Amino acid sequence: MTLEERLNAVKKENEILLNMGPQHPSTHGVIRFIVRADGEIMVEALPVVGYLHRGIEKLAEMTPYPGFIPYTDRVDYLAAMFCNHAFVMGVERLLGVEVPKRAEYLRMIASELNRIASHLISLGSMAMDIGAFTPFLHGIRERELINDITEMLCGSRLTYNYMRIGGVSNDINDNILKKINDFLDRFLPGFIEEFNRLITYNEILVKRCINIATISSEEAINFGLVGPNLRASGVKWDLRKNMPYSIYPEFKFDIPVGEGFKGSVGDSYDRFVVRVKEMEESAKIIRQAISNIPDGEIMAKVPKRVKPPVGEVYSAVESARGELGYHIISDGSENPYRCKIRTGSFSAMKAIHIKSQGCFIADLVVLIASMDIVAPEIDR
Amino acid sequence: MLELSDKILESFGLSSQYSLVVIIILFFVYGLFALTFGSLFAGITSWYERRIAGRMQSRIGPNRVGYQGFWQWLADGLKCWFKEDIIPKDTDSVLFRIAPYLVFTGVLCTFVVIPFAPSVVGSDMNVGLVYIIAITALVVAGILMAGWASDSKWTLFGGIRSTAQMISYEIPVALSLIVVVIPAGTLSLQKIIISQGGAPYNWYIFHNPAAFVAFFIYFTSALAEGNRTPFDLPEAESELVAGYNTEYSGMRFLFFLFAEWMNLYVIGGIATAVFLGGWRIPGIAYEVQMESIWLQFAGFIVYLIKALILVNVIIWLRWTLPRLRIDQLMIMCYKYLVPISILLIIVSIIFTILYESVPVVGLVVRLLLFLLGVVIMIYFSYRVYYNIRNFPDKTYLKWMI
Amino acid sequence: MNISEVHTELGKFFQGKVSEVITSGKISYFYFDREIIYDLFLVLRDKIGMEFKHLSYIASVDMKEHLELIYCLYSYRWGSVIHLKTRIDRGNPHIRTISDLYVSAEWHEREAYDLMGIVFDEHPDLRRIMMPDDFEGHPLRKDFVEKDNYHGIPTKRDKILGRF
Repeated sequence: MTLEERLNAVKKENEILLNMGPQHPSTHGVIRFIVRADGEIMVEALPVVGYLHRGIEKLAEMTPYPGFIPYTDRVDYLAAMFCNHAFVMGVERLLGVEVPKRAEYLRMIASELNRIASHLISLGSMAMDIGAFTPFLHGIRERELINDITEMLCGSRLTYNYMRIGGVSNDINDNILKKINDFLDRFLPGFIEEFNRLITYNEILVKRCINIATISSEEAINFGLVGPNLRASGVKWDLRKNMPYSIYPEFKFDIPVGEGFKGSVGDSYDRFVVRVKEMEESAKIIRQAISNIPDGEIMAKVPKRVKPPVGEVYSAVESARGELGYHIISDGSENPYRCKIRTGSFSAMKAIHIKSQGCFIADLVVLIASMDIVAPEIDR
Repeated sequence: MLELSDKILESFGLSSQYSLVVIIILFFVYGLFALTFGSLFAGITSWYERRIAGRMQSRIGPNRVGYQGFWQWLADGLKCWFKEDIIPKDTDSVLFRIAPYLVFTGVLCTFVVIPFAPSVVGSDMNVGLVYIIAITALVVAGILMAGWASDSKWTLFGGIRSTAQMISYEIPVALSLIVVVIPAGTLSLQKIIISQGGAPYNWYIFHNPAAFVAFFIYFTSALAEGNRTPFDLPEAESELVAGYNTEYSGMRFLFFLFAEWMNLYVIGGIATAVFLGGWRIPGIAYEVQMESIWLQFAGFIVYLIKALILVNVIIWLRWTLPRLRIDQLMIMCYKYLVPISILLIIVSIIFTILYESVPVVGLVVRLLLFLLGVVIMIYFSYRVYYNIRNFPDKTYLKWMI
Repeated sequence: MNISEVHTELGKFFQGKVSEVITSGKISYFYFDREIIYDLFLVLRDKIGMEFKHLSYIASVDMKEHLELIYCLYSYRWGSVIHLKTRIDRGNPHIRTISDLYVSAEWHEREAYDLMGIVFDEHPDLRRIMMPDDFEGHPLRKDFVEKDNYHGIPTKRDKILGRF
């Protein structure tokens, strides 16, 4: 079947066909929606993806293991540390390598900083789609500080390529620690309070977001949603607590769950507030981590040519957008035999397709923004 | 205008049979003045808005072209003038071309009744307010034409949404202005200003509680009429690219924007004239002001400052608030603003009759409302101080606190 | 439940249609025959004690003689994750869809169809998802050879590092 056949199969007389094309001022990347609308109310918003398909999974079969790490950055460029971490963790499990404690601490600090940065962009984009232009730029202002920190850490501001098989690439020094401390002093609670006063408690945003696309917990589990989308629907599941990896068991933090803060459980406002709360929790984790980074090596002894034994592994981390997992099948050679990447935005697209029935066209934008999808995660 | 033409004829020593010629020349001059004032205001407001937006968003606005980027609007205007005029193939040729001019004319024609100074007004019609409400219907026609004639479903959406919004919000605008017409007794803007006093407690906003609320209702409804955030769904960027003016390029596009910025001054100007005392200076009687040229000029400056404060508030609201959805907009208009305005008219009638029979009540209520206004301003300044104190970002005003 | 408990439970219902639990590397899985897929997933999803209501992903692998599908299921209630595999032969790559049990399977199966060429029967909307609609071939297969041109545009260059 082709797209035209699919559209013609359900055509009705009084519906108009609108195209929210791949080029879109709504900044979520290159995704296309074909909207069948009856006036202002939508009947269906059919997502068409594939504009950003780069064939990363096929490239994995031709690239040696250490050389594939920059590719993993591009799977989700806004939360690149998590993509690195998941892949590197999988290979380490296959090899049986133990990562030194200092490297784990550095990995975790970098990942949580990246989570804050990613959530800032996602919340800012959602506010911008609804019409408030200012919170996005305030978020960018804070994110610039995080970018400066990661630039000092690993040399790059967006696609980090920071983790290596067996550890991390660069060490941290007192200068960077001081900068992180300054950032946290400024971020929590000053910026979060200001952000909340500016936009989270704003009556207009609340009215735009409550009761839009309410996803109940059973539906969310069935749709395959993960991450803040799932937690906003009331399911208390976080890979950092339920299937712990790295050194997360040693830290104290909460999992924010949606409770219908101003509307029903699982609507778009819940997804917004859950992300704001997650930023706070990440800041708390970094604060606990900075004060006791142990001394030691930053990289374990790993051979230059990485040849894991024959086997499979599935390693997942809790990224900013949910569970990011790599299923790596190794056949003993230098390249992976198959590397399947599981991302959170892929399942969220189907949820958008189903939940868009009966909404206004203006609500479609809110729905897409609240699911926090990025196009490279969908198409890989 | 007629007195002015008589004065000119006397000073030149000509007989009154040339009065028609002089009047026509005066109208041309005034029209040119209004056009220049409007366009300059639109241009400078664009620079000002971009600077304010930049500072609110922790960045600097345009600051390259001229001192602090002041000539940015000239640069943009010249660039747009030299752009290629792209007209899509399947558009309706006549409607597509004349839509911007209709929108522009609709807003420009309101400048005829807005008084700039005690004796500088295009035509002090005795149905001034009704004329304003009627002539802004041209804008509705222009926008609908723009939305339809561009051959695109998205612009059609924007045009229809905008039409629905604008014709709905004309009702609260008219009703809330009538709340003030009742104590004033006249529809002409100059006479409304004359019947207010100079000092703030004599303005119509503090005249009775109904007028106080009517000011805010007028302000909100006029924002909706002018398609400004939080009511700018017709030109919502994230959904409709640019709404009804997607397909326009170059100077035609600028006409729409000009009309939007000129409308800011119209909103501010009418609100000042009707609610905030216009060009009256506190403590000086109207006759004294009419005699002296300097006091008239001072009146012009006072009017400008009051209107510019309101324009400032409008720009501030745009960059802070999100936008409302179309059905929430319509619900707000028909379920809340219209019934409240009708109620306010009745309350205003009651209060006016009360004031005429018992004048003391008038003074007391006016002073109480003035104190309420002062309290609100003090609380607002306190919130500003609190926010600047506790910002995480470096604010340049910290030295003064 | 972990994988061995699931295996013993399912062994009662599907005698002979599931293989032994195999541990390869760091995960354990078992194979099942492709005819029983619908009933198997129905049991997995609804039986009390298993309740694997979350389908994480469906991965398609090209083992040279046959194709394989890997299903990964999560149970949030009991906090466990299992993997299942099934073999599909290259000559007749048909298998029944599970998108009426798990809504998320629809897009995963479309990706498997697009990139590997496995046809899912009774799928509501089986189209290509990432490649263009008129693309020929299934890219993720090991024996995939790119065509010479796409709508007249050549896809190969003689000198990769040279000029045109």
